[in-house]
Amino acid sequence: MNQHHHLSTSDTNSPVKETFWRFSSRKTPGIAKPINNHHAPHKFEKFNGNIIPTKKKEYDSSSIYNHNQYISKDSITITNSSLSSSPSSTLSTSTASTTTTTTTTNTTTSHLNVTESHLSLSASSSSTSSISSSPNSLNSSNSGIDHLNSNNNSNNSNSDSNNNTPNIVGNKYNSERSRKFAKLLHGSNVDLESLKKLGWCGIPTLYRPMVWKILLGYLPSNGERREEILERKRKEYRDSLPQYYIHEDKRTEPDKKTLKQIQLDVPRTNPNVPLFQQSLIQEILERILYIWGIKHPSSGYVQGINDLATPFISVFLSEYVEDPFTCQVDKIDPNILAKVEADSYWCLTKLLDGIQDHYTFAQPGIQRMLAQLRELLEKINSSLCSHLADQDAQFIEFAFRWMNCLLMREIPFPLVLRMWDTYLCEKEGFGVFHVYVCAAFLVQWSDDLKQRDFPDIMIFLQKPPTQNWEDRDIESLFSTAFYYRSLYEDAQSHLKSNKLFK
Amino acid sequence: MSKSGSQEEYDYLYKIVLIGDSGVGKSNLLSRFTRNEFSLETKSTIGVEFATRTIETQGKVIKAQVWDTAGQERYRAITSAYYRGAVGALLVYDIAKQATYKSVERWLTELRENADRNIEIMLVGNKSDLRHLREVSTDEAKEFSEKHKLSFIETSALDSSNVELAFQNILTQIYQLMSRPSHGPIVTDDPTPTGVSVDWNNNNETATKPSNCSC
Repeated sequence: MNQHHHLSTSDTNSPVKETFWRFSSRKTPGIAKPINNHHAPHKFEKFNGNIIPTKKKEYDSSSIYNHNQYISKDSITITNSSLSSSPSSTLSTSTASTTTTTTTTNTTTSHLNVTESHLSLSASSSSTSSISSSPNSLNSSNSGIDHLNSNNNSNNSNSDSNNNTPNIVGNKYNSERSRKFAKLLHGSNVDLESLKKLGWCGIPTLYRPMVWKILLGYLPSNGERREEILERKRKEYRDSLPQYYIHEDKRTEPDKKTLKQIQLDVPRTNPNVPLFQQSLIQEILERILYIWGIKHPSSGYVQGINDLATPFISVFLSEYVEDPFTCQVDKIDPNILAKVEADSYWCLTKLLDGIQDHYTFAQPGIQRMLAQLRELLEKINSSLCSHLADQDAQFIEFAFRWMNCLLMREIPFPLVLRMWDTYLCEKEGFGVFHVYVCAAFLVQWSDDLKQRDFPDIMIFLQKPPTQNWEDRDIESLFSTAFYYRSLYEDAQSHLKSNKLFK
Repeated sequence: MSKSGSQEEYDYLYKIVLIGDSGVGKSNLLSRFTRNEFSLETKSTIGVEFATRTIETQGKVIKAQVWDTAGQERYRAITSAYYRGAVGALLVYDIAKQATYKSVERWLTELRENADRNIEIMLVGNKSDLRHLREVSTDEAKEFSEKHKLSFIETSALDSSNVELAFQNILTQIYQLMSRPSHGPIVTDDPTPTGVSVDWNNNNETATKPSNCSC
């Protein structure tokens, strides 16, 4: 069934409706102005002054505003992390001065590390396609504040010191990144730490399927055994399928209910991406969700998990077809589809293993994240926090979906893939960094939100103006989130326990 | 604390929740009523979605805050948080799906346990445009609602029929209820504690209501 015309049909309640097809024509942003994007250094001036604890402020600003110090290519060896994505102009400056590197010393004591994490943001000058590989982050060391000992792993990048001319440096940089991935992946044993560092700032489309599988632990880092394991896992999935095809009479009541729910949700999953309107893909999605659901009775299938399965299907298809978003699925070899299906199933399983309490009874994982978000906001932007409280806007009312679907409903689908690159490279997976991302997401509309009363806050937040977002908006969001984490991680750590917060 | 809209003037502000099984059309009822929109591609509701609309009834301007909730059972534990302060509930089922009608009793229990005991409930049979697929007869639902003292209406968010009327009716009923001497003008405070047993026979507009309003 060909449903490509779905593109033109009318409204859904999705904030990202019909959006990513028009990425090239960036329209006027909505009511809220996306902050910064291009000029990173100004970003933190906008945060109402209260994100940087006064004690640390001076130190911080110096590290934030001084790009060049960190953007040297060799800065990957810097022990503390810096998430820097550089516009090509900056890049050229820095490549010219490869010597400035390791100047960020290890002399700081571990307590000061927090203040050393620094961010430089960027516009991705070379990224034209919305699903491009977000190549603009030069420095790929991640999760840095407690990575004092990580330099050993990051030497791969030191090899190509060269003198690019400024105008080609962007492309050069992209291909250089790709080369780094190629080099890492084609070794007989992939160094996971290095892969995470490199991948944190985005994974090139070409390498994404493989890197995701490795990062999720679906593929072993040891290259020799990969084919064998893939074969075995795909067979294992295939063997579980008869459970799905079982005759209805033989299904238990809960299983019937699960299947019904899934059949309701599958057709309305990513309605704005043509891929997911094709019946073959819908059947795949249905099987994946059903098998997962019956094999995980403690949570079972919960609405929103359908959203989480879709990035895998689309990314793993990209191994075989050029443009998975719009490809004709019925023209693809069924054997390929079967592989994509099995791989997606296992990777979804791995992902959900890490956040299972998001979907068990009363969803304690989500409640915990909501509590963390509120605490975080209090520290980052207490005036926004009290405005929300004054208006009686509850976090569970406006942020529940952010947690339940990992912002997939708020962010255009191609950018979700970029977000997952980073989440997969996080050592604590999807559950921890996401809260900081949500805080950054909320705070960027702070000025706007403070002018609004309760109904307008709700209406704004359930359809935030992200329709025309591009890679750089995600980079910027993540930079801010990274920064928040470096400041507040310690303070938040007590929240990691499994207590329920209301 | 009452949540008020800023710009528009209104006399009363009522919070209404939309509840019922997954896929019965709650979100489309909301979008039809508040924006006159309908979409076949509506994504499943996660958590809660919110919209407002102001109407006039009996010479009063009433602002309705309508909360659309997730239908899946797993979300009930969360959803009940959204009942806080609701003075009306549209309990929606799909006339073409018997199972969604069968769930109505469970939803009533749900309301009984979590919502204000004075909450005004309207049973809504949605998708009335699907005549050829009807599985729940109008008479059956009518009878049920009489027995449980609910108001009842059949609607179609797709072709708009009765959507306006449904909201208009429930808002008017709430207004009438609230403007009785025993009630204050607006109830938006926390509901009575859960677990209170409620005599549902009292819960219609003709019966006298205990004056336990929490305003």
